[in-house]
Amino acid sequence: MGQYILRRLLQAIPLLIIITVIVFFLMKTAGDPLAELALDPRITESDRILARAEYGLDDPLPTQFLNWLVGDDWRSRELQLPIQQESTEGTCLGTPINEGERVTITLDNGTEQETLLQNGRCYRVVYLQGTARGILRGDFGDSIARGRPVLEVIGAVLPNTLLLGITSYLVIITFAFSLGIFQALRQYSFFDNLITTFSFILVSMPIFLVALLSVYIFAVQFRKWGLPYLPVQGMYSVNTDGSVGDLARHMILPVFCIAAISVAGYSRFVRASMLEVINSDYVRTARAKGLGERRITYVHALKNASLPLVTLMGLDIPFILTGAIVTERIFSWPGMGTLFLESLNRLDYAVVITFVLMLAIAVVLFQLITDILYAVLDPRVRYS
Amino acid sequence: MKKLFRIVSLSLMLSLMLVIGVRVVSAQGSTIVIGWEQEPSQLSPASDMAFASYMTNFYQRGHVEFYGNNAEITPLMITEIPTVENGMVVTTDAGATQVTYTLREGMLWSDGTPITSADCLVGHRLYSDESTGSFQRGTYLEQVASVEAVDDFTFVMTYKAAFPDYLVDATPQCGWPAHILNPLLDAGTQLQDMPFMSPAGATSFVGYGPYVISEWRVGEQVTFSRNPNWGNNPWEQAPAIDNIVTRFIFDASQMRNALEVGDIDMAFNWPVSDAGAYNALADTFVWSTPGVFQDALWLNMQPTDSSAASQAMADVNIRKALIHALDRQKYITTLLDPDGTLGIKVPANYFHPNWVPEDVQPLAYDPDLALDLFADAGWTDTDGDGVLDDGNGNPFLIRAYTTTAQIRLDFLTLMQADLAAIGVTMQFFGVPGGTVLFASYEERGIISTGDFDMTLFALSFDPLSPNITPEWFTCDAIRVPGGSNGYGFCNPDFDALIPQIATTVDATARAELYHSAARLLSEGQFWHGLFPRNTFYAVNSAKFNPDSMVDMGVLTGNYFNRVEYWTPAN
Repeated sequence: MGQYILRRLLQAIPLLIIITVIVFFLMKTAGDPLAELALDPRITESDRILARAEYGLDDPLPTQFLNWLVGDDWRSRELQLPIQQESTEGTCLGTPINEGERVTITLDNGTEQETLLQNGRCYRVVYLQGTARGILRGDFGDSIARGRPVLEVIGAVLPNTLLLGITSYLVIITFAFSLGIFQALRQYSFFDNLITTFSFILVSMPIFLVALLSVYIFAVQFRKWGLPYLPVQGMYSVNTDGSVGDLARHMILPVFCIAAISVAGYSRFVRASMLEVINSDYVRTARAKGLGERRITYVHALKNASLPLVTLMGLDIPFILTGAIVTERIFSWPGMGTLFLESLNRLDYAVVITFVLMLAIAVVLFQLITDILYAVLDPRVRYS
Repeated sequence: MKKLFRIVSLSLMLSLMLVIGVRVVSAQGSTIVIGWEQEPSQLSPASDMAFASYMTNFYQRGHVEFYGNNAEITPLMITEIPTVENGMVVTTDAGATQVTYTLREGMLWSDGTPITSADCLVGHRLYSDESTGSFQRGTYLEQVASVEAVDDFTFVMTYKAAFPDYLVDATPQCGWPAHILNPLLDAGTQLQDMPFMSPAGATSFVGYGPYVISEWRVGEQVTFSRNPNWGNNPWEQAPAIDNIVTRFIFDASQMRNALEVGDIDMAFNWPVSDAGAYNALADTFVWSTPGVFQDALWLNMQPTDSSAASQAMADVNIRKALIHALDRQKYITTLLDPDGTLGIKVPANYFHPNWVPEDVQPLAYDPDLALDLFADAGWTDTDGDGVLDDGNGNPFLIRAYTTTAQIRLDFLTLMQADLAAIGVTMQFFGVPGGTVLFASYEERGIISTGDFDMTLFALSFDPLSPNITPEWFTCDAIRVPGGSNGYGFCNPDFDALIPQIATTVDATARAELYHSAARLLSEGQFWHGLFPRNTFYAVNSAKFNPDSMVDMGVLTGNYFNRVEYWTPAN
């Protein structure tokens, strides 16, 4: 088993590299995150050059990728910043200078400044030392939109997403298994048909529709009808001490929206698997041996019936990490999904790439965990 | 027994949901919650985001304030507005503008430290030295020669040349406390890296304004509370509302829902298409203020297409005829303001209304006059097919381009019908703005190269200054690299006015100049306004008094600068 895990982890490395390369180049070709600075008259050309240099945006694309991987703290960039102060022909800051020549000028405050005259324009020459250490050394770069390290930006919202995602998943598992087992044990009953109908309706609805409808019903209309209504955005009320009750109220609608569709889908799987299992020979044998129905259902049948679900959940769980993008957006939940959308809009590539990388790692890890769980749940499965 | 257990369980679950669902009425006191559609990266007065600069007005004020939709100017940190008349604005022997400012005595930073001229020197240090960080310097470096303190409350700002916009551009920067910034700058810390610039340290930001930052919940809200050191002087209006909360709601429809259910008290910057829905909300007052964009039709005066109709556009009367055929106010009523409550009018001129003389008015809708003008130019329906032609079998068919924005396409659809009614065929195309319509001359952009008969887009202006952007209007910007004047407006008199407007300090003389410029633009008959891009607001009128809020100011970062005058509902 140990060898199998090691092999799978090693196999994941090229996969992650390929994903990283694709996402990096896709994001880099999507546009220039600082392009709008060129349209802002409040930003001088020098400030624009400096800002771009800080993020290495003017380096060739392969160099940018290299910087992102291994950092750029081992080198400095030469920048030529236009001097805005007036210069007469053949002089820069009052010092005679020839075209193409570099001279060091002592300024009024005593500091020395390397100056260049090029095409009749004076430039201040500065050397900007790189500061990025690269992802291989644990530095995922700085968010251009926020001016802070990516890990700090993600760290601020990841707990919110985990809270929403894990809670939703607990709700999904609880309800999906309960409903699925209930339906399987009462196949073709009124409630089985009723739940099946609702499941199909929910499965066929996009999540944004569920979200908007739930807001309309449980917040807008409930308020109109004079009923207790639910908040529609954020994690806490405006003036709050951060109580659990307040948080729970804010979670009801987002959790409901995330869970509703998944419960509908998963419960169908549970129902189908359970139906297959409870009619099998070993369950009949268990009954013949006099085991209680509850034990047969929840211990013997459910264990085998849950195998297909394990695969499905193994694929879905990584998305808890990355947040329910649509739901977070609609409910203004300050999580990873909201961060991802905003970063994508602002071409904040460092955040987007880290986000995708996190998702890729999570998918690889949970696939591995799923495979291991398979072996635990089904003794016939062996990895050697 | 099983059934009873189920009933009890279900009842318990429902009760729990109801208990959680009951709205906690917390002690809100006087707190106004404003729905904000974007979270700023940092709460800096030098931030790169317009939304952050609006927020800045809660906790950081400038030396003067521009109140109201007509940009009425009021001294805030200074004793009086410097003018030529009061002798505080003089011209040096070298021809440069020199302005003397006198700070009011008794002003305190939010940490209790007195404000003096030394603080205004910090602003100069930040803006005149590029090593202090990368942020918006604008034309400061180009315009300002020096700032010198005369005494604790007087300082003199000298420009490099004559500079009439000394109140609106390259202004003194007195918003940075010297006792906090100077030590950090001395240590080589750049502005954006200073600890109070990030969300984690924002509550330690020291400013001069009616509120201070009291909490920043990343991704959720920023809370501002009364500044204890504001309101002790006659010019500092003490706020009637104790707290302002800016709540980040990224989805436009959720903004409206949040207002409806009471999660927020005010929604702003929502699309005009939502006006009807906001108007329908109970206890909600809706209003709008002018923005800095006006969508307009730009007609090609120097056609590139060889068709007879395109070539006819060079005739000023044909351009007038086209506009007379368009019922522009009807389009506004149909598409933007069905019940007329928003009061949206056809803009008269490219300039902000502040800079336009009263005699410059939009061309009236008059299809008969349009037909007469076409007939005078030789365009009539000679073959009775309902389309104007030149008698040589050439129909009057023109091409119009705009972006893919639906509202613009809707406007063009209505225009197409009006033009068809007088026999003009207009084909229109929605194309990507950045890469096709507005692309540079080198990239063969439609506007830059003049490859159109008519185009619909918005160009911004500065409502606080009548300065003109040369690359859009001058003769030497017509279809050349770096130029955007693809419609071919060329008037040497107009070109000569641009530097004069930029350097004439005398207010009366300057007004004459920009009125002349507005008239010349109007006479060109190439720019015709369609609708102003207003900013829309909705407030819970049961909780707050809309009359205290409607004067929001013009869009140059000074929105919300009257927030201390806002009052709760009676």
